[in-house]
Amino acid sequence: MCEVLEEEQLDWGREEKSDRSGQTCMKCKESSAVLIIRVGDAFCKSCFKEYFVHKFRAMLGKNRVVYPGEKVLLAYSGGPSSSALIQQVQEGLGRDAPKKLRFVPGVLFIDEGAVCGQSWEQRAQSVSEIQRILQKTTFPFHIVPLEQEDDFCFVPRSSLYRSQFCSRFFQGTLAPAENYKQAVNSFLGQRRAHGVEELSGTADELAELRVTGDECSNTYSRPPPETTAALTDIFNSAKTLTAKVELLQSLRNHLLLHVARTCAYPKVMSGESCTRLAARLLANISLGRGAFLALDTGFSDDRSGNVVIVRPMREYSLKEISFYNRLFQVPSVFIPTMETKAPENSSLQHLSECFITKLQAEFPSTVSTVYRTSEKLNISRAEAAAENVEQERCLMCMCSLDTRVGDASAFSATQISQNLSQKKPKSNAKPTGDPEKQCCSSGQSCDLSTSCSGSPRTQDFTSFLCYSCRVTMKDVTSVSAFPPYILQEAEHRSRRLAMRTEIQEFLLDEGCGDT
Amino acid sequence: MRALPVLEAGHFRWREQDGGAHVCAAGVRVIPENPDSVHTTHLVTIPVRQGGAELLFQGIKRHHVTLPTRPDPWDIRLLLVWIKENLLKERPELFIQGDTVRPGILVLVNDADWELMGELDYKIQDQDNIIFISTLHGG
Repeated sequence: MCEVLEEEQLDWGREEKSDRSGQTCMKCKESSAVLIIRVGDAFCKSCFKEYFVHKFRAMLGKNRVVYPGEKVLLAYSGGPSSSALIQQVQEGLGRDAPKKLRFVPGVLFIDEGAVCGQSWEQRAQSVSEIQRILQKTTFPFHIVPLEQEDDFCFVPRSSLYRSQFCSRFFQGTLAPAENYKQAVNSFLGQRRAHGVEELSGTADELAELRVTGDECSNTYSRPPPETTAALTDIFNSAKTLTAKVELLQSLRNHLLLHVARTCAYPKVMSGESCTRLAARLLANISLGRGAFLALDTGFSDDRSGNVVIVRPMREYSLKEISFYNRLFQVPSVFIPTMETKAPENSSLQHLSECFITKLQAEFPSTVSTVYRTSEKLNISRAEAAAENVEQERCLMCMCSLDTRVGDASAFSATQISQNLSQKKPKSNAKPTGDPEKQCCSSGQSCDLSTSCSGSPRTQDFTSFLCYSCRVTMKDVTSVSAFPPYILQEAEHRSRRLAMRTEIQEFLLDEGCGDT
Repeated sequence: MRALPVLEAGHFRWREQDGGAHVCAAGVRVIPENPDSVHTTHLVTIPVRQGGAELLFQGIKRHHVTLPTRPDPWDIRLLLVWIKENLLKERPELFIQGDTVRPGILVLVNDADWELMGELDYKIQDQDNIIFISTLHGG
């Protein structure tokens, strides 16, 4: 019975397919259609444009996170989605439509060429192409090499904290916005109260942190070769492409947040499409990042406190974006990534992307189903409540640590079995192997005072990472080449932890039951 | 559909339009099976590839090709086979899987979705503009 039904359905589907040629637009019913979005909705060119533009505004209107007059940093990669994002913002600002966008945009391009093994000439060429495109937008733009981060001695350990500095400037945006109107009013009121000088004062203060002022102007100079070498060392030491991709994502995010903070952008827009997010959802689950799915794939990501990352393109499929860019001549730059020309199973991320696209080809609602699931995810209430309490965060991904859990957890079980299975080959595996190592890696605060106060080692490092980042770091061998700000922060934390254990007996116990 | 001026019977070429570099015009000569066939004697298609798919095509974004004559009309299915044999320089599995394009690669026929045109069965017309866009991360 079922089989018969299936066959009938298939036939029906086939008939419909052949029927499609010469179809008219489902909206205006006049012009002939140029593309099919979703399962059977055919749109003509002009209706598609309307639909596309409307969706963008609706997305921002519905979520109400961006306040009028606020500075918003657009994260631009040169790819189709972020190009479409910039184009939409441009159109939204320029138009006299009632739903005109009212924020102040700036663009950031991070040059990751070094990681993908591009020569300086190739990178300079793509950067000049990017510059040409960005100059046309008339938005202020920043072009920063990823190596910049290595250079960041002055930097942001702060980028690993939540809302530690510039709180004055960002306060308004942090107010819990139950009512958007109230929030907007308080935001505007605050700005007025601070006055213009105050704002520029803050900006000066921030500028003291040396966000290389010349990047804000449109020059781009070659980063020193040592820093490039240091960066490539880190990536070359990563054994798997999966780890490389994760690492790149973390470092890119740090830099993004750093630029947003130093140039006083309280919001960052990034251009992930729903196709990308669906793939990321699956990839992240398999990477052990399940606890952070809501942050990693949701509309707004406030893990860093004072800078909120929003994803206004998350309702668009890549098909829509590609068609839009093609039909309305939105320029984009192709820059090869680490996954270019890679075989399907080269990394977990790539594999899940291939899986999603393959499934999507046969079942056109795959992406939207997965994506809708991600929409429903939320951070658990207990965690949200603890949000205001000082919480330890992962050094790499800045999510609250999911490793501080009781003995009877899956995490501990994994650790135990891992330690047991590694016991034998350990003697010749790593020279740094010492008895403390095992006890540190169990993830609970143990006697770190003796073992972990010296030079940074993989071990100190891992205890400040979430489960997923630990797994990633396991594949990265040269931790000492890491950007100084991460190492410093790791050292800082381990010292604090050591101190804490030292004075443990004098502290009033606040439920550190697991120590 | 206008009949194409016959350039050189059975001689097809592709070249880079943007940079003007003449990449290859030599060597491959396909003798038409039946030059007087009623079916489209010469077809020009210009596949353009974006989003990184051009990397598999020697980095050339725009190919201007004249397809060899064949007794029955060209459709996309045949075009893909032809591309695989003639234009793809490396890793054909990243572009073609089975008899169709790899999932994640969009096909546009004269700026319209190929799903509207009958997909693989679309009969290629003279001066058609066929575009392949990769939506996969990293091309």
